[in-house]
Amino acid sequence: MKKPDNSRWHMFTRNRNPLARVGHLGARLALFALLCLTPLFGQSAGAEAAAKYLKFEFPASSPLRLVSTDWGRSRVLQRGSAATAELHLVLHLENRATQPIHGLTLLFVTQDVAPGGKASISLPGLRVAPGETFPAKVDLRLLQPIAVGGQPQVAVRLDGVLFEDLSFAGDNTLNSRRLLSALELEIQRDRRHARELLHAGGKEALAREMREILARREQAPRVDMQWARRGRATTLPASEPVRFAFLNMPDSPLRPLDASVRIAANEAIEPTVRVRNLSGREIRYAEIGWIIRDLDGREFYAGTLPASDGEIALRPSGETVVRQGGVLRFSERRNVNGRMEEVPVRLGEMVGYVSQVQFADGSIWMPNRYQASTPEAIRSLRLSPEQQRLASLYARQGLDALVKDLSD
Amino acid sequence: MRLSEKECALLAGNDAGFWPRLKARLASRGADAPRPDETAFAQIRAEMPRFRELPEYFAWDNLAAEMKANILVGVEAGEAIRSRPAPVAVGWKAGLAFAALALVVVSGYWWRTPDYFASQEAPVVSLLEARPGGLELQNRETALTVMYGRDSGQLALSGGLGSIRADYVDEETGQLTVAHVYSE
Repeated sequence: MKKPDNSRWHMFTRNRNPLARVGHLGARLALFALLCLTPLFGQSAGAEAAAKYLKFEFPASSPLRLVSTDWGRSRVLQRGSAATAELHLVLHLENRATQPIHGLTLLFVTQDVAPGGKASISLPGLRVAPGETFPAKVDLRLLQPIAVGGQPQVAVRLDGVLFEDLSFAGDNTLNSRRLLSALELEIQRDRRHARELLHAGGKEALAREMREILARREQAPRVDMQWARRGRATTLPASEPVRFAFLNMPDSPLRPLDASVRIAANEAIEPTVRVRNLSGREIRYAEIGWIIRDLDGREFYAGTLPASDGEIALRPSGETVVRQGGVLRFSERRNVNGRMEEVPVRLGEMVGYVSQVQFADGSIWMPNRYQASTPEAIRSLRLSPEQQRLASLYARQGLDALVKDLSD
Repeated sequence: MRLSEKECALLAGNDAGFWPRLKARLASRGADAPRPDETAFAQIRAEMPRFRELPEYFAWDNLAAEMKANILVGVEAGEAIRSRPAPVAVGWKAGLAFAALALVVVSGYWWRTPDYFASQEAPVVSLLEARPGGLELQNRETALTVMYGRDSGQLALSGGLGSIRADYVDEETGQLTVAHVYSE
């Protein structure tokens, strides 16, 4: 017996609609395209590819020598039309100078990300003896569209090194000397205070101080800050310029006469300050610290802004008006109905204080948080970097490790 | 030893194997007469040739062709009335939907980079952003970020005039670090 004819057998199961055949073809083509593009979305390359992004430019006369580079988890990731280079590296540097290094600034320059776009990493508070090798950890991320073509390259330079005697070596293109000197001054003050506490009240007094710092750090709102040169995120009308208060310190060489800012929701627009030099020396640079009180009544330290674009030359008794262009926005991550969301901080009041002054001779004035005349808000709301480091050391390694660190 | 009915039937037709035949021989030894069922099977066998003589009109070929035709008609009739899902539903509509889905997926990945399709004539607006986890310079579709741990302590942010700064203690090394990002 013959088998039934195949063509007749399939006559009813095969679709005779030509559009359906086109549909099948479309589906197959779409699937093929998706399979072809899939590797592009998550393509990643390891440390070798990431290493091509950096170009070290340390001159032969540099007080630091790059001994080796550990690329760690560095990788290059292609996602859609963009390539992301995540550079997690540890530079092992050797002190080739004749005296101990107390701080350094590394400069990362790329022309591909923005005209003149650059970043820097400063490591203050170092204690590196001559001939000693030490690690410098760097975590950078670069995002660039593939369509731009060519691989972006980041030049790594040494902007400067601060030595034990506060002398400086380097190009100082980022004013690293001022930054490292001010930080060193503050670090020495914080360490001196901690040692005094240890000697006067013993380990328990030091531990109590560290616990207070940790508690203040935990309680402080985690506020994100954005700074845009122009363009506002909200359409709310900004207020007329409102005057804001200043915390005065008796020994401050600079006195704010009046200050104003326009506020719209979570944006502070063009803060303007008129200052007078009370000292007998010429002032070259000044920095204003900001404390913000939101509409919920919370106070937090928001940071500092330079009081001038570059250097000023403010003679004794001289006055000048400094204006910050652009918009500052404040927001924070809060738990909203069980989900972490970024919500704007509704600005209520702003309070300013002079946080740093540099004179023409290079010397630096900073408010001393351990002086009784320093306003309580400055002492309690702002944690210095060294305070945070000491408290972090106490939390991680205990009191004995902290005492040993202070004795070094 | 007793033979089963099936073995009796096989013996009657001379189709039994060695073992049933041996059993039958052993069973018949000492017996005077064959068993009734063996006799009945022997009679049926004797009548078999009579059934083979079919009438002339009984044509096997014609009968086979007729049966085949009936089977084919039955199969096609069954197919005609069998319910099946509409074939059009898995056709071009599904293809179109799948293609649209693929387009959405591809577009989604493409548009993840900021302002990729923005006009090249758009003004350059640099945005500096400081948040727990990183300082970032955004400029059109490019970005430069200095990263640090989300819980690196209180961030002292300094900004304005083309730069933004964060002071933090590195979680791994315990090293005090000051990061800056500059837009100009």
